[in-house]
Formats: sequence, C-alpha cells, structure tokens
Amino acid sequence: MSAPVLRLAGVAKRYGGARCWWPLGQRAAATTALAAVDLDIRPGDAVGLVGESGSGKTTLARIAAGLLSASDGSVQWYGRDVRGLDAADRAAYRRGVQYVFQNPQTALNPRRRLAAILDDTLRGLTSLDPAQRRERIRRVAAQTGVDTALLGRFAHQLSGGQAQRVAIARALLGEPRLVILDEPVSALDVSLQAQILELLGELRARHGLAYLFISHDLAVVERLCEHICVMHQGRIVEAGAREVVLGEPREGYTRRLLDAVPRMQT
Amino acid sequence: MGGYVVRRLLLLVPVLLGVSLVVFAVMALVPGDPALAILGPYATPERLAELRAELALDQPWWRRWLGWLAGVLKGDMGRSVSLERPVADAVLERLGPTLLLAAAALMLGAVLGLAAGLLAAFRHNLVTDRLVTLSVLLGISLPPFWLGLLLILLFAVWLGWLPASGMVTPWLTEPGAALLTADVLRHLLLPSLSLALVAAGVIGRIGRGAALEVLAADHIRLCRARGLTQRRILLVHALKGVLARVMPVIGLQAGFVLGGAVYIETIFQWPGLGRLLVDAIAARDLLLVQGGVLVLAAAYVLVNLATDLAQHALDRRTAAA
Amino acid sequence: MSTDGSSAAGGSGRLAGPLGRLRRHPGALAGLGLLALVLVPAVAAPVLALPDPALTAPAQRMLPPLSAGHVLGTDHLGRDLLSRLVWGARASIAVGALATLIAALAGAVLGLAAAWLGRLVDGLVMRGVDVLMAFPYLLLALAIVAALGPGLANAMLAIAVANVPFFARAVRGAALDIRHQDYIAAARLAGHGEPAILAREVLPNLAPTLLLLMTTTLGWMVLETAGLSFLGLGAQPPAADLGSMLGEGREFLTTYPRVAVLPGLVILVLVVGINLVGDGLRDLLDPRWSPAGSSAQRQGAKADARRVAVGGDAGDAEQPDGLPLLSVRGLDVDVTGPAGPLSAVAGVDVDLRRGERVALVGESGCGKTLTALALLRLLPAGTAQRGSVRHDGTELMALDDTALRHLRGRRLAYVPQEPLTALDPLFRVGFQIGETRRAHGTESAYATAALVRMVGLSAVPDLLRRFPHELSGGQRQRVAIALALAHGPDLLIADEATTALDVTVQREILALLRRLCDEQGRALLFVSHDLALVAALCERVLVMYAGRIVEDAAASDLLRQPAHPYTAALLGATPELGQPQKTLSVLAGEPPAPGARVSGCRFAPRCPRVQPVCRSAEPELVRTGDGRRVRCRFPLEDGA
Ligand SMILES: Nc1ncnc2c1ncn2[C@@H]1O[C@H](COP(=O)(O)OP(=O)(O)O)[C@@H](O)[C@H]1O
Ligand code: SF4
Ligand SMILES: [Mg+2]
Repeated sequence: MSAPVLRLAGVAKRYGGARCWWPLGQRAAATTALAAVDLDIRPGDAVGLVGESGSGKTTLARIAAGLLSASDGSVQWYGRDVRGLDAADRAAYRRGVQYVFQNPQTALNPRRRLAAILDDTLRGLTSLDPAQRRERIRRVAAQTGVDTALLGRFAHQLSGGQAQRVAIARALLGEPRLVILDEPVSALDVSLQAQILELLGELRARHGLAYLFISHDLAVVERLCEHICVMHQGRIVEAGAREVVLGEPREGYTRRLLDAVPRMQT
Repeated sequence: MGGYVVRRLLLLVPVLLGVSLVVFAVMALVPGDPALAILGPYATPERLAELRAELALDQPWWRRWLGWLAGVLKGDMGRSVSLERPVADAVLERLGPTLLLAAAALMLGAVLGLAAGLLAAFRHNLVTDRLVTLSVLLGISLPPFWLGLLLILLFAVWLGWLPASGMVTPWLTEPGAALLTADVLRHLLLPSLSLALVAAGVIGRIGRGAALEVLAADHIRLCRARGLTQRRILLVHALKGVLARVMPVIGLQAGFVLGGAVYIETIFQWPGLGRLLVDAIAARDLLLVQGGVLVLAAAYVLVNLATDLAQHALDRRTAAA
Repeated sequence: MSTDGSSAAGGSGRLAGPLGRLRRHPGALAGLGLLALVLVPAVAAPVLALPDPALTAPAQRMLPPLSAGHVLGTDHLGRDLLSRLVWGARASIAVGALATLIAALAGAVLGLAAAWLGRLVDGLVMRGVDVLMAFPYLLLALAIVAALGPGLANAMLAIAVANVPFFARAVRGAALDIRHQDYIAAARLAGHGEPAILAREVLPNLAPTLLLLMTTTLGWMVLETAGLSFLGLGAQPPAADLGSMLGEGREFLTTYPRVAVLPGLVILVLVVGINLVGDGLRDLLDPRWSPAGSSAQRQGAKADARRVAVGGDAGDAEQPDGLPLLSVRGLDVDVTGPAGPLSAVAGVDVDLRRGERVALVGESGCGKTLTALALLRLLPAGTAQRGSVRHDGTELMALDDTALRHLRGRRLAYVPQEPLTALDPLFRVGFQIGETRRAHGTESAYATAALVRMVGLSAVPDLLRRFPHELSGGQRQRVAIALALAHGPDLLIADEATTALDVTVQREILALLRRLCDEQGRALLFVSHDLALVAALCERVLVMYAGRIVEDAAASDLLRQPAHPYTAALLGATPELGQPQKTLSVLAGEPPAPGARVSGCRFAPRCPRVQPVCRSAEPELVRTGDGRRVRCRFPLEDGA
C-alpha cells in the first residue's frame, strides 16, 4: 500500500476554556470538538466523512487543511509532521491540500473580480509567469465548466452552481493531491447537485485526486467515496470500505443514521 | 441573572479606575504651571511654593494619582483651590440638579423617541412615516445649545410662559413642598426639552428601524398564523422586541444627556455639575475637574448598567458582556 | 443560458449601480441640495466679494438686514453677518471633516489591530475603549481641551480623540466579521501572508463600512466642535466658526435674536444635509435596497389583496367525492421587482381533501413558499395575491381581518421552516402555548399538558419555563407543531419543516407529523425540495416549476412513472442510498427568476423533450387518463 498523502494521528481539538488575563472576563466552558481522531488518506482515495451537525466534521477538515491548529496529535504530509516541514515541503503541502467551502458565495471575496481571485491564488501557490497563469486558469476553467466570460464578474453576479464551479476551479489551480470538500453540494438543489457531483467524479478520474468529502447526506457520500468514516460527537465511530460501513454497519449509531435516510422505494 | 448583576457590578471597579487614570493623565498634560495659573502673575514666590506643595506638583503625576485614589477611598476628593472648599462637597451639591435634568431629559427623550419610532413603523401609512422620519432627522441634526436658545426666545422672551434661567424662583415666598415642586418643574421644562428632543431623534431613528425589523421577522408571521390579534402582536410581541433592541441606545443617550448638560446648564443657568466643570476648567482647578468628571462618568456607567440589565431581562439570549 | 443574457452587466462594476440609483433616491438628492447650499459658498468664500468678516465698525453695529453693503446686517461689533456666516461655515465644515478623518483613521488602525493581532492586543485595546467610552464623550473632549488650552485646532483634536473609541469598536466588529469569512481562509490556502491578506482581502471589504461610519458621524462631529466653540473653548476671536458666533450672539438673544439664530440655522441645514446624504449612501451601498421605497411596497400588498378573480378552472370539473377541504383557483402571486411587480406564482388550481397528505415540491425559488403563505393569506410585504382560496366553502379572499384570524390557527395551521426564528425568542415556551390556546376566545381543543404529550415533549424538564434558545432544534420544531395543533386544525401547512434538522431528528418529526395526521384525520400540505423525503410521507405530490404546478399525481404513480419531463429530471437527479451506480440525470441550467421572459413552456429552455411548438404557447395543466394532471405537450408515457 502507498504511503498516505495525509495522516491525522490522534488529532484532538478543544475550543474555549482558556484563561482570560482580564479578571472577570467571561470564561467559556471548554468544549471538545474532536477527541483523538486517526485518519489516513491515500493517493487517489475518496474518503467520505458523514455525521450530524456539530459532530466535528468541519473542525477535522480545517485542521487537515492547516486552517486550524490541533490542540493535540499531529497532521502528517507524506509521513512528516506539518509543523516540522522545511520551506520547500511546506510549499508542497500548501499546494497539495486544497479546500472547497460549503457556501461558494462567502468563499469568494465579494469585492474582487473572479479573474483576480484566481490569478492571486496561482501567484501565491506557484511561480508561473502571467502568460502561464492565464493559460492554466483557462485550462482549469474549461475542465470545471466555468465559462471564461464569467471571470470578469463578481461572485454575487453568479448563481450558486456557477459560484461553486469557480470555487472548485480555485481549489484545482495549484494541482493539489488532496481536495477537502466541506459540504460542497448541500446548499444546491438536486439538479445542480447532480451537475457538481458528476464534475467531481470526472475531475478525480482525470487528475488522480484524493478527496476528503464531507456531507450529512449518506446517499451523496456513497456515490463519490469508496471509504466512509462516520463521525459522532467528535469521534470517528466507524470507518471502512463503503460496502462494509453502509452494508453491514457494526455501530448502533451508523445503523440509526442509515435508517433515518428517506428512501423513494417503499 | 443574579450572577450576571454581580459580575457587571464588579466590572465597574476597573472601568472607574481607568476613567480616573485617564482624567489624571490628561490633566497632567496641561501646559504651564497650574499654581501660577491659579494665583496669577503677582503671587509671591513663597505662596507659589506653598501651593505647589499643597497640590503635590513636585511629584510625578502618577504618584499624585495614587495619593488621590487613596483619598477617594476614604471619601476625600481633595480641596478645590478655586472654591476653597472640599471637592466632594461642591460636587455632591451640584450633582442633584444635574441628575434631575438628565433623568428628565432622558425619560422625555425615550418616551418621545419610542413613540415616534413605533408610530412610524406600526402605522402602515406613508404620511405618518414621512412625518416621523422628517422630525427624527431634524432631531438628530439640531444643535442642542441652539435649540435651547430658540426655546428661551419663544417660551420665555416672546410668550413669557416659562422662566428662562435658574432652578427655583429666588423670591419665592413661603415655598411649600408642592409649590416648590411646581416651580422646579416649570424651570426644568425648557432645559430638559432641549436635550430630550435631540435624544428623541436618535432613539426614534433606531426605534423605527428596530420596529420594521421586528415586524418583518419570522416569529411575527407565526404569531399571525397562530391567529393572535393584531393588537396583541403589536403590543406584546413587537413591542418587547423593539424595547430589547432600543434599550442599549437609551443607555448611550445617557452619555449625550449628561455631556450635553454642560451646554444646557450654561444656557439656562442651571446650578449643576456641568456648569461647575466649565468654570473649573477655566480656573484650572484640577481636583475639581477630576472629581466632577469622575462622578459624571460613574453616573453614566451606572445608567448603562441599568439599561444593560433591562435588556438582559427582556432578552435572555444576551450574553453577559 | 443565463450566461449570455447578463454577461454585459458584469463589466460595469459596482459603482455604476449605486450612482445610477442615486437619481431615484429623493432623500439623498435633497441632502445634496442642502449640502451644496452651505458648502458651495463656504468653499468659494475667498473668491466671493464679501466684506472682511473680522472688520469691526462700531458705528455700524447691529444694522438690520438688507442695509447697504450688508445683506444680512451686522453684528454687535459692526461686522458683516453674511460674510461671517460664510467664513464660519467654512471653518466648521473643515474642522468637522478633519476631526472625522482623524478619528476614523486612528480608530481603524486600532480596531484592525485588535481584530488581527491576537487576544492580548485585542484585550488591551478593547479595555481602553471600554474606559474611554465610559465617559460621556463631551466630557472627555472637555478634559482634553482643558489640557491643551482653548482653540479651534485643539477643539478639533479633542473631538477626534473622543470619537476614536467609537470607530475602533465598530471597525473591530467589522474586521472580526471579515476575519471569519471563508474567503480569508481561501487566501490562506493560496499561501498568502498576512500583509497581502490585509491589503487585498480585508481593506477592500472594510472600506465601505468605514466610509459609511464616517458619513453618518460627520454630522455629529460638526455639532460637537460647534458645541465646544459655543462654550468658548474652540475658535478664539477674532477667528470664528458657527459655534463661536452662536456663543457670542447669545448675549443679544433678547434684543437682536438673529445674531444667534442665524448661525444655528446654518448648522442645522448643514447637518441635515450631511445626514440625508449619509442615509442615502447607506441605502445605495445596500444591494437589497430598491428605489420603490419600503413603505410603498407595504401599501401594494393591501390594495391588491382585495381583488378577487373568481373563475373556476374548467379542466378540473370532475370533483373528487364531496366538497374539498381547501380549494384553490387561479392563484397568482406577484413580487416587487426593481421595476414593478413580477409574477412569481401563476394560475395555481388545487383541491385538498380532508385527511389528505399532499406534498409541494420543486427547486428553491420556484414559488413553493409564496404559494403556501398565500393559502393562509400570510404573504409578506411587497407581494400581492389574486385568485380564490376556499376553505370548507368559505372564500378566504372575502373574509375580514377578524374572521381570517379565527380561521388561521383554528382551522388552518402553519409549521415554519426554522423554529429558532419562528418562535418568539423573547417569550417562554409556556407563554407562547398559553396565548395561542386563548387566542380565539373559546377553549382550545387540547390542554397544555395534552399538547406537550402529543408532540412528545413530556420528558423535557421545565419545558414551559424555557426560552426557545434553550431547546434543541428538534424540540423547537415540536413546540412549533404544538402551537399549530392547539385548536385541532383540519389542515397543517408545513414549509420545509424538517430542512434545518439532522436526518435522525428529521425522521422523528416526519413520524410525528404522519401520526398526528393519521390519528386525527388532519390534512397536511408539506412543502419540500426533497422528493425522497416527500415520498415517505405524502400520498399525493404537486410538482412546481417557475411558479406553475406542472404535475399533480399520486406519490406512488409519480415515483414509478413521472409524466412531466421536469419531474423525471428531478427524480433522475436525486441520489439514492444503496444505488451508487445509478447514473444521475444531469439537468443543465437553472430555473428562470420571476419575471424572466420565457416564451411558451417555462421549462422549454432546459427540457430534453422540447419541440418547436412548445415555445409557441404555454401548455395547460390537463388531466390525463390515470387521474393525474400534467402541464406538458409531450408527457412521458408508461414505458417511455
Ligand atoms: N418578498 C419578495 N420580494 C421579491 N421577491 C420575492 C419575495 N418572496 C419571494 N420572492 C421571489 O419569488 C420566487 C419564489 O420564491 P419562494 O416561494 O420563496 O420559492 P421556494 O419556496 O420554492 O424556494 C423566488 O425567485 C424569490 O426570490
Ligand atoms: S411542453 Fe415541451 S418543453 Fe415543456 S415540458 Fe413538455 S416537452 Fe418540455
Ligand atoms: Mg421555500
């Protein structure tokens, strides 16, 4: 088996509870958002993360992407702790792990044109010259089904589906190894959801991407991911191959989750 | 709720300490020699030295602050050089009239402002809305000192209905309690109105916005779906929502009213702290300024505490700040 | 398809919009006019042929207006009043604007530092702000002037400093908000450092907020500096601003009132102008603002609601057994667009039988919520409904407010989408249940305890004494259902009642709704965007597209064989658990917005079965052989 692109080893996260230096300031009770989570994502794997709201999915995803630091445990990029990476590896990690947010409208700066947002992303991640950047943007836009005529616009001038395509294009610009998708279709209607799901499948096949795909919708996760992790109250309570987790769940919680999914065949 | 009150009360201590520190630091920046400023150019060197020692001017300002603080804890705010009497006495004597003026103005302003704001929002009527919006705009744009002068001109000079200055008529013979109260109220009306109209502008503006927001909220729609009467929806549900939103603004207006008292007391010769402060600044009477500002700031902080508590009682979602 | 239509609009940028809309904002225009009245002479003062404002002429003191050479007369020292007003306004404006600029810059730096540099800096700055805001701000300014000595520049500085905390606090709030936006995280993911993020992501988004704060406080700043001058702490003679002129004129108030009244009037005009422009700017920077005016919108709803178009639909002649519980004919709903009303729902004809569970499905924005609210005549401001809605034979459109009120809540009940915002956050659960039970004079159908038991909340300790925010999402939805049930209504209208909930909670709520309808013979109209969900709950499904009912069929028939291409597309696009291999049919494009011009069938631009004839006229909703109704010229047949 190949080495994991990203490994989370005993990652925990606690919010609040820090002492405030100002006497009498409010001291929020500490909440444990994540409790010692282990997770491996191998090259080309699509790992689905399911669970109800508040179960810690987004916290885990943000830690994996380096947007949040863990209170405990380590995040390893090809076997090395991301905190100890040298400059070159750090840049590779930065390029290699990208993120797609739930709400595409808030993930795109409302006061900048889309072309500028994409160009900035490329400048931050690579050292391409302007002509190469234009070429790369054109290519990725074509792959993600973004009409280049749209790039002169602002995010609020796009529909939800278009904006999510641009957000996916942004994530792909640096040619990542792993894309973390945090509920990327939850804000979309089924017809748009189907469009985006198809796009994600296509992109993965074409680039050999690994996905960490987060959703509360089991049917959606089942379509896209061969591996599924079920989260509950800050823990991964069950993980394994799709057929096993959804077909023969061991945990009571997974069964309850499965039972609750409405089905069209009655 | 109890814990919230206690925490908010405890928080007053560092805030008031900070306030006194700021005033002390600012006053320490006064250029020139305060002793010379007080005694004038013809003072003898001995007298100057004596006064400097009395004011502890030979020490750094923070040492003076600590000394002053120790005094305040014992109830001693120092001695006013311009009035030649204890600061605490002078300040306390003037505090009552200022609080009376401010309270009257704030209450009048809150009632007028809320009424205007609710009227504009609840009456789905273009004319009422436009009228209220216009008067509210005038309210927030009026210089209160000018308004005071206009009121004097109209009601005291031209119509002669109300007195133009002071708090009581000096030659009031046989001042029975009822008569005295009536007399003070007559004197109070114009100065408090000058402040209240401006405060009402701000409160009315916020109140109208809050009312429109509440009326468009989901829970008002559910009230209608539940079949509640329009009266109940407006007077129970919408009103409470508006009050909860406007409460902090009323607290902030206490700051305007207490500060604005400086002009209004000057214009109406109202025997309050504001006028005392203006005189103290002119006379460079550092301790008197310090004492007066601290007491006014404390009053303001207390009013704000009261409105915060009121808001917390209306809306339990508000976190203890 | 929407790409070609509006790509031109993208290039025109953000400013053209607000400036174009300015012409339709009467308040802002009036403000600009007032502002110009004071500003133009003040700016032009040096080139105007005015007498020297400081030139005293004791012989000419207190000349009346319209004297030779003195249009507004002279003051107590014989100085020309008009000239002094113009120069005084110039000083006041300059001082107010400078004070605003200084306060805004200092406040912005402090606020940004507090929001960005971590907890220690934040704590220090905010505690300082707390202390400074504990002063009534005029007192702080007074203390500063006392320290610096009187003078216009010092007064300006004092006002500026006294207002720094206000700006710092507001900017910190805005910056914290921006800091938590996803686009900041996205910039971090692009490997940008903090300076680049501040410059490119934060400042452009902060600038409008700051600009707005400045215009809305400029008026205050002018008033406050004038106030200090009035007290003699600002402009020192012979220099003058409007405040000091007022202060000097005060002595002659009884004898020569105009000397004091005129400067105040100029301040008033100036500040009113500034405030009007500030309000206008706020509106124009708000993308939701429309020039139609909020009050005018509210009017529309009332006027139009009375119009009743009674016209039965011939296609629906064959009534199901007996009188339907709810009968809707020709229901239209218009919403307010930027240029007048737009049709959002059109020609809805539906009957609901007693005890029937019916779903209303479709993509978001296709008019489901508007339809549901129209059935209760609960549409929000800015919308208008026409057509006929009959409940048990009673025409809702003809009822007066009281009768309508008694119908709602007693016979028709509504279950909202988001119970956190739909329950009044300021009242305890028990209060809200109690007032609902007493709302109609008579006893409610159920006692509080029975209601609580019925919705499965008996086990929640102290339920009635809790506030809505002290309950979980599922518990809140149960409370909302209890409110709806209080008077034993015969129809529940639930709009996306489970959308905000987790699947396990959703399942419980669905089971509850089903049981309540089954046991008590209640009808249910369940609005949802989720076909799979609906299939589990309802007997009949209405599919809505672009404001039209396009298919009406029994749930089992619809799932087995959809007739309308849109229904088929929706079903085909819905992923199903246990069938990861199912190819999802991809329906390109998006539904048209209200008022979008689509000729013929509204679905034609996206329809895989479209024929040229579809675009010529809109198809009717016609009844087919198996008892469904379909709005399509070429419906799918069994086996097609
Ligand atoms: N008050 C309103 N003013 C203007 N447009 C509105 C208003 N309410 C709804 N709309 C528009 O009408 C259309 C239908 O809305 P809605 O009934 O909420 O759809 P759904 O419930 O199916 O998602 C949408 O395009 C929506 O933007
Ligand atoms: S009428 Fe024509 S375009 Fe419309 S849904 Fe039917 S087939 Fe498609
Ligand atoms: Mg809806």
